[in-house]
Amino acid sequence: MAGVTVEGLVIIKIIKHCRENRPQLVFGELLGLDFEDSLEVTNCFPHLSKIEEEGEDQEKATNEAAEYAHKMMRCLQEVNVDHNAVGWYSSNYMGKFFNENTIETQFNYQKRLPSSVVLVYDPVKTSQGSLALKAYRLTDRFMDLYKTQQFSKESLSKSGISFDAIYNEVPIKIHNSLLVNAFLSELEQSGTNECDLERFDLQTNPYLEKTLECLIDTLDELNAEQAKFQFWQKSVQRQALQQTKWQQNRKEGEDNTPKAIPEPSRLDSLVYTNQVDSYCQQIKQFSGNNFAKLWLVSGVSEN
Amino acid sequence: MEDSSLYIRSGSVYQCKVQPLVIFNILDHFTRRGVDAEGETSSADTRVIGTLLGYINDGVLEIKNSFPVPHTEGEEQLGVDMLFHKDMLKLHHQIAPKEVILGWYSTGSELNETSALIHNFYSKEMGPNGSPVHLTVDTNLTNFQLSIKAYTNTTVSLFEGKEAGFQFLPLPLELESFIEDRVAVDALNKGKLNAGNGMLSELDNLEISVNKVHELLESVIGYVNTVLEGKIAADSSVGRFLSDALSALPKLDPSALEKMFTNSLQDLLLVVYLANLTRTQLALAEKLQKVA
Repeated sequence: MAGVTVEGLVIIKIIKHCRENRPQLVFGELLGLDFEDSLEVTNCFPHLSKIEEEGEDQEKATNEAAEYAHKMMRCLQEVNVDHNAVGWYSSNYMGKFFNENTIETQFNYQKRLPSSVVLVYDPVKTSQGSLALKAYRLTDRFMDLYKTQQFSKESLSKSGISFDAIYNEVPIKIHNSLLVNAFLSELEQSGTNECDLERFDLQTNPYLEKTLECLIDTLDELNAEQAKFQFWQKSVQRQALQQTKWQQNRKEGEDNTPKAIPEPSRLDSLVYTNQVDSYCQQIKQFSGNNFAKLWLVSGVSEN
Repeated sequence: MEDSSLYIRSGSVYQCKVQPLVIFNILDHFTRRGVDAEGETSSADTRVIGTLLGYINDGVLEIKNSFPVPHTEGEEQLGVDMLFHKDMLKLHHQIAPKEVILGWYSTGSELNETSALIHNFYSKEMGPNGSPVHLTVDTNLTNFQLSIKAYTNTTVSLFEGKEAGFQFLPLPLELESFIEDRVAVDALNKGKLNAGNGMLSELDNLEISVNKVHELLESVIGYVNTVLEGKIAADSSVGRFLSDALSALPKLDPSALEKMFTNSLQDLLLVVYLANLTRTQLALAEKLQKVA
């Protein structure tokens, strides 16, 4: 897919929804048009926040959310808003968004609407002076793999998927109607829209610390997954050993085929590896920008 | 006799803040006004209306959201889709229960009889003490401006207790944007200039900001120089601003600054090194898995 075109309205709407529910994460539906090889996102609306309860209540909440979405679509259709779902958006902090839930949701979207995307918005990074909005899609190869729901070591190596091939980023273009552009120009002239000061912020530590914390947490999880896998390997070996022993001194007519121990799913470790990788990249990017700022400061102070 | 004098009741609201989202919504609604009842594309004169939502805080209205409401305006009739309004309001309350109706918006700058009728409808919606606010956005760009204006109603009564009608009274309006909004609007503005090139990276943004500050400094230096040369008279208020700005600069020992600089640099370098190491490990693990 060549790219996704996002209307300014959508961006502002997502930001508002996210700000008013902070620190909760928010989700919403993207509406727009699927046009040849590019996707146009022209409107969006928030989802009802998910209630984390088991049993009947959860089912009720899901039904309510579905009914809400249906009604909202109908209402928007009445006022000529594009009412095709083209994906969903979500807010996230520190780049920890690609967990199993996200993958499952995006998988379901992409199964239903092959061109759908997920827009991910990071309020923390945005308040540092640069709009942090990214669009992602699961890769076709990962879609095929996820469809089979087989995440053993064998199926992973057969499909040749590595941790960096789960999803790819789709470039975002911003589009606005002429009227909106007129409004933007007015805003710019009024001078109430300065955000330069935030960009000169030199305080790196809180952000880096938080990212490193997340990184360490994920590494721990990855370690646990690894240990699980090793444990499984050991138990398989032990079983094989017992089996050979038994075969050597077995009596006629006896049958003792042991049950195969199920292999733990490798999906988790794949996802964690990916997460670790994206944290590292995030750190690199953030530090890269800060190097520039630091040299800037030292240059200014020398003069 | 006091009672025979004209009473103008001032409303309880004296200021109005509007967020950029509302204007975006209104403009989008206007762009999508579509076809009218006869199936013809509406002309630019057709106006669209909608409901404004938000909070009231100590007499300050904060308009935070809006939604369109379909309506028809004829020679002598006015139809507002009440059912749609109710449905949409219910849907919005499911997401943001605290936002209440504050008033309505319309495009075009004209205030006429129908405006008064719609205004009446909204004051009924808001309950007995409600005084709705009316926001207009001139989508025809008269004078090349959107001229966003807010009005409220004041009741004009000839005798106490007897209302003769009401009058639209302008309200001071302020665009309120949070830091995230400002950043987004800035990104949109940049996107407007280089259409099709996508979004700018952080470093590009930094460069733009640096250039801007540089320009500002140049213009300040230019101004100070002309004053020193005696070409224009010195303005003491500008001078005060300048000295304030200069005194805001922390006085730092060069060696202290040097130390801070190296510390930050070392921290960053270490973190980058660790991050790279981790990535190498990952790549190695990946390769080993493939071989095994």
